[in-house]
Amino acid sequence: MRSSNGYDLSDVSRESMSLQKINSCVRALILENFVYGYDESQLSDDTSFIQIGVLDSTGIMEMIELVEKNFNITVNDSEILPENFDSINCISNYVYRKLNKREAV
Amino acid sequence: LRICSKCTLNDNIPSVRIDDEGVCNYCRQSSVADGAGSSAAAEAEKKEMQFISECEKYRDLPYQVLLAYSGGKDSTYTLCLLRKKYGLSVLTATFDNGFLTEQCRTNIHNVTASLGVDNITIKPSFSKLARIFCYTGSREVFPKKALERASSICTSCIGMVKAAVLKEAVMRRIPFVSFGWTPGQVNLKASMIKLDHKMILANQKQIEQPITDRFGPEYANYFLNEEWLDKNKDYIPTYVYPLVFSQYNEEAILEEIKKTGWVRPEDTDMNSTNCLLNSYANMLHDSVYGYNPYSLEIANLVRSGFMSRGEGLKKISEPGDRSVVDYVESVLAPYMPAI
Repeated sequence: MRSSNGYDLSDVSRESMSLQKINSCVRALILENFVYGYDESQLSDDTSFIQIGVLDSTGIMEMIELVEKNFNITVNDSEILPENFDSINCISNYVYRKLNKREAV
Repeated sequence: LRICSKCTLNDNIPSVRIDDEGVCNYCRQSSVADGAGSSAAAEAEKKEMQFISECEKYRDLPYQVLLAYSGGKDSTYTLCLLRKKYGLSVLTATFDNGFLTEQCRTNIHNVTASLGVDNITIKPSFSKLARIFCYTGSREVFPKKALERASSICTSCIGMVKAAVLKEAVMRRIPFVSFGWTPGQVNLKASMIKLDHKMILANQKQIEQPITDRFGPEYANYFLNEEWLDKNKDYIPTYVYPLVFSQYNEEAILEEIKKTGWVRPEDTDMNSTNCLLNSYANMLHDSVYGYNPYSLEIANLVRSGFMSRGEGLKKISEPGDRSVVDYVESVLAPYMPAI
């Protein structure tokens, strides 16, 4: 499956994904499904979703659903933290840790 | 202006794109999600069972749930569910923003009496609230994305409501906080959730900061204090929204709540059954951004089959009562020069 941004989303749930690959997938998912109004150039990997109003109390749950479905992971309530979901980099690092189970998230 | 042929969204909304077939990106995404797993009913039942099971742990408490009770139809029906269906002890908390209709006040009295529940009213100084409403209604103080879900005035009001009820629940050690959010406002996964205090504070900051920056630290009283919440983080309640895991049917809801003495106010707009400010807030939002702030919620209800497309289009296109808008403007007028 290839996104309209040109990213390959076919292997997003594979545990062997590199952080860079996860980052590309997260970026594509966020741009396609969440922050529709933004150009790719406007959204850096560190843009705070809270600052741009995306991660309010409703938005955070939409974001989590998107991440769970696309990476085939389960987000626990205790993991719903700004440091795990506030930017593309935050999400990528979180997903990477979950997929690789290298440390408790 | 293009309107999606499947739901009710139009392309004045920044996040909406309508394709060559006349279908919006929300509907496209929704159909992909449905194909991935059509187990919404099972998931809803699971959430409900989880809620019932969790409630059992707190049977001995004076109040198991604190409900943010606006007196509108959805929070009234939520109260009916909590009391009649789940048999829970409920404390209702009403945030009086100065624009509740007389019928709404009567409804709160009648419904709480009928269902045998206690009610507390939180009433901040009207002059301070009016200044906040004038300020947030006339300036772009909140992110555009947040304004897709509610008007600027409603965003500020709801932000204070959320903080007030959470504060009450933490102080009273009540384990659940409930709101009458509909399936159009909240997705199923979020229908019962315990949020970390850092996430709550991060969300709150978006509302609190523009207000305290403009009016000073005195206005921080209407929000959760970071240090206080940190000290009390073990008592942060679980949020639960029973309407989200119930079958949402407006006619059935109105029929049920009538039994408790609830009567529909005649002076509110199509999207509110308690607050006069709503008509004014919607009018401002529509005039600035070109769409009704209830658009996403209504479209979600239409997409989920809880509302017909025709009914949805009517709800978002019918203008508020001009006399109500004029009344609200006249009440707020003395506070406009202060900003």
